[in-house]
Order: sequence, then C-alpha cells, then structure tokens
Amino acid sequence: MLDRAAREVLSMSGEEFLRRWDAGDFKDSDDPAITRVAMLIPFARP
Amino acid sequence: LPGRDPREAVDAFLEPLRDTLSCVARAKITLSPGGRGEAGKVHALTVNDDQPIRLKCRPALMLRVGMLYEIIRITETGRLPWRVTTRGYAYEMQTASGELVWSYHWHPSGNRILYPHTHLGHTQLRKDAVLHQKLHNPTGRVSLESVIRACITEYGVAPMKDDWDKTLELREADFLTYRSWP
Repeated sequence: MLDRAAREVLSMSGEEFLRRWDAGDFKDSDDPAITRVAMLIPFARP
Repeated sequence: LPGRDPREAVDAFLEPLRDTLSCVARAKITLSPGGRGEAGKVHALTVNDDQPIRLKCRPALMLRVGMLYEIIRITETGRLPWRVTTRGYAYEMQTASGELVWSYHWHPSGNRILYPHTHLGHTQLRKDAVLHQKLHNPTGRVSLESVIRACITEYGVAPMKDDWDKTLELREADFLTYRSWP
C-alpha cells in the first residue's frame, strides 16, 4: 500500500521513501504528499 | 471509548468510524498489522485500501480517509482499562480527476508542522492567489464526523441513510466526550 502511494504521488518506491524518511530528508518538507505516504508507514513496518 | 481489553477498545474505536462513514459510503476499514490488539505502538487505518471514496454528488468528488492510532492502557478508577487514542489523521477531498480540493491533516510525529492544519488544493485557487497548497493553515482538531457532515451540507453529497444527521450528532458527541485533547 505504501509502495503504491509513494509511486503515485512522489514518483519513488516505498523502499526509497522509507530510507529517505529515516534519513530525515522530509523533515522540513511542506509537501502534503509526504504526509499522505507517511500515514501508511505502519503498513510497511508491522 | 474504552474496552476491557485491547481488541474490545479497537472495536469500540472503529464502530463509530464505520457508522460515520456509512452516512456517505460503503466503506471498508483496513488496519495495519497488529492494529487490532497490539498496544504500545502506532497503527494506521485506511478506508477502502487507501483508495478515495467516490461521493454521490455533482461535480463528482472523492474522499480519502487515513488515521494513526495507538492502543493505550488507562488507570482511571471506574473506567475500563483500555482505549484507543488518535495519533494523527488525514482527510482529503479530491476532484474526480484526483486533484486536491482540501485536506485536513494532523501528524504530530511527522514532519515540520505538528499542529492540526488544512491544505487547499491549487486547482481551487486563482493563479495570483496568496494561498497555495503547501501552506499549513492552522485549525483545531477536526473530527471525521464534522468532515462527513460538511460533505453532505456544504458539498451536496447525497447521504446514504435517512438518519445521517442523528448518526453524526451521536458520534460527534462521543468524540467530544472521549477525546483526550481539544
């Protein structure tokens, strides 16, 4: 689910999104699309 | 709404959401793994597998609903020991082509903006508008019930049950009674 959303709204894989999220790349982002994908993190990390 | 165990607390949390959503759609709620009973971590829920709900209105609009929540133990005397607390939400209205109309966000453990806010979609704004979709316009905490009510009363969405007003009033009252922050 997260992979699909990340590809759809951020044009990146779920794996890349999680790597960049963990690295803090999105910490200062204003993009609501980041939030949309981040809300799905628990689906990717049980 | 509290429960005797984590599972019951999750059921008590989900039932009003299902009831609320049923006012405008047939919606399936999906929980992230462990989301029905595992305490002490943040879980997610999506509606219709994170696909937007097509609302019955013209022009056609779609609503996407996502929430983060945690199952917590409470120690108040005389109350059942488990409850669910919301840890974040994203309610997003889109046009039929998927363009954002508005979204209500609260993601206190996420990126820069930790307070509840709304975004306005750029397709709804003039080219010279001061507003743009990346601004975080502060709001109070927004309930799903109030969003569904606005869909019906402000955006002309056809309700799917005759007693939608009573349903939303009842569920909103529960929300106001049991929320742990304003």
